[in-house]
Amino acid sequence: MSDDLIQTIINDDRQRFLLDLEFVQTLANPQYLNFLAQRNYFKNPAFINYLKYLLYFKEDNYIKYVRYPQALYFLDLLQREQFRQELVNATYCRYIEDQQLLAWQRLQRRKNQLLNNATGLAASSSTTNNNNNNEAETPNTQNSTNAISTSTTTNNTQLR
Amino acid sequence: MAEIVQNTNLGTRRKLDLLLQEMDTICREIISQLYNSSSSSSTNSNLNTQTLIDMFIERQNYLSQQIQIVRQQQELERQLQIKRDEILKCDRALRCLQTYLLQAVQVLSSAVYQAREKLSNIRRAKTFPSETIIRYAHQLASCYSTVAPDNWQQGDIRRPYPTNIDMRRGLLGRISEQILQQQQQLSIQNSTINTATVVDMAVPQNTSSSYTAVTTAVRPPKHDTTSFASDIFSSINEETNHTNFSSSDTDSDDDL
Repeated sequence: MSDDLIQTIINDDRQRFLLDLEFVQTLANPQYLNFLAQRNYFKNPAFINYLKYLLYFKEDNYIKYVRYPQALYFLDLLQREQFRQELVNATYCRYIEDQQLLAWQRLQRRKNQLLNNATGLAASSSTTNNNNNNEAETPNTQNSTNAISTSTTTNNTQLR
Repeated sequence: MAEIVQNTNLGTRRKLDLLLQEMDTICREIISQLYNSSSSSSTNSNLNTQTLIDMFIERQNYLSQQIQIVRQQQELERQLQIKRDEILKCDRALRCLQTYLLQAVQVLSSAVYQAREKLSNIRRAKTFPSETIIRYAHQLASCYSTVAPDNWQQGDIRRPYPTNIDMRRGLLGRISEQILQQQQQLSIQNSTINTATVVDMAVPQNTSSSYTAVTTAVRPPKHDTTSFASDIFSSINEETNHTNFSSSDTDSDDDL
């Protein structure tokens, strides 16, 4: 019966895509990676081929569905044998998780700093300097979005 | 004496010194002559008292002239000092401006370099409509996947990746739950087959009914929650017209 369920999912394209999408996003969880490593999933060549197949999520059409872009970074790392071997260590996975959380919080702090600078610039300007400050604000917000986006996606995009 | 006074190469101080020395010697000469003339009536020396006194008066006039000159020179020196102070001030100001200029040059050069890099990036980049990018940025920001929420503290269960709860609610979680339940059912079935001998005919129906009963008891919460992937998918499909992936001819990249 379980095979039937899996068969129904595989035969339905929508369900299969959802399955792939879910799985690829779970790769952002270092504890889950540790779980997979300790159960020898990474020793299975079929699994490694599946990981290679999942790289299609980096294309433009599919990346727009990914909500946890760090998963793609881990997907790239998982293509390497050495990383897969290291993931068996729980301490290594905890280290990765700590770094993830610290980076997460650091970006939040930077975002707040940039927002405060932008509001500070706007507040301290006089009415005659409004035009200059408008030009100063947009580079700040662009810098903030650039700073945040460069750490997530690797695609080059342009604001038109 | 006139040549000395009019000599422009000698400084005023030197001239004053010479004048004072001469006046000093003339005074001594006058006094010694007066002393000698009082003691003995000698023949007149070359320099009689009258000429000495004339010389003295002449030197006194020169002295007063020199003192006037000294006063003028003091005034000039004062002016010079004022000008020197102004020059120092201007010099300091110029140094400040020079440091500002150097800083501005550094900042501008780095800004120009970065602007050039940005432009070259822009030229190489793929273009997307800004609407798409803003929508994607909103999507990423709304689930706090890259930037932490502002009120996040230690002990908050939110994470930048799908957590255990999210994973169990998803499609993979549901599949694994179903497989576990089926395995449990099979083990129950095996145990009932081993113990019961009479009710063989009824067993299949019972297990199937109990199977359905168990699943219906457990299923309802699972039906209500949808996987986080299907959430994304359904929200995206609400905004677009197509859901079919196998035929990509209707795919339009403009809408997300």
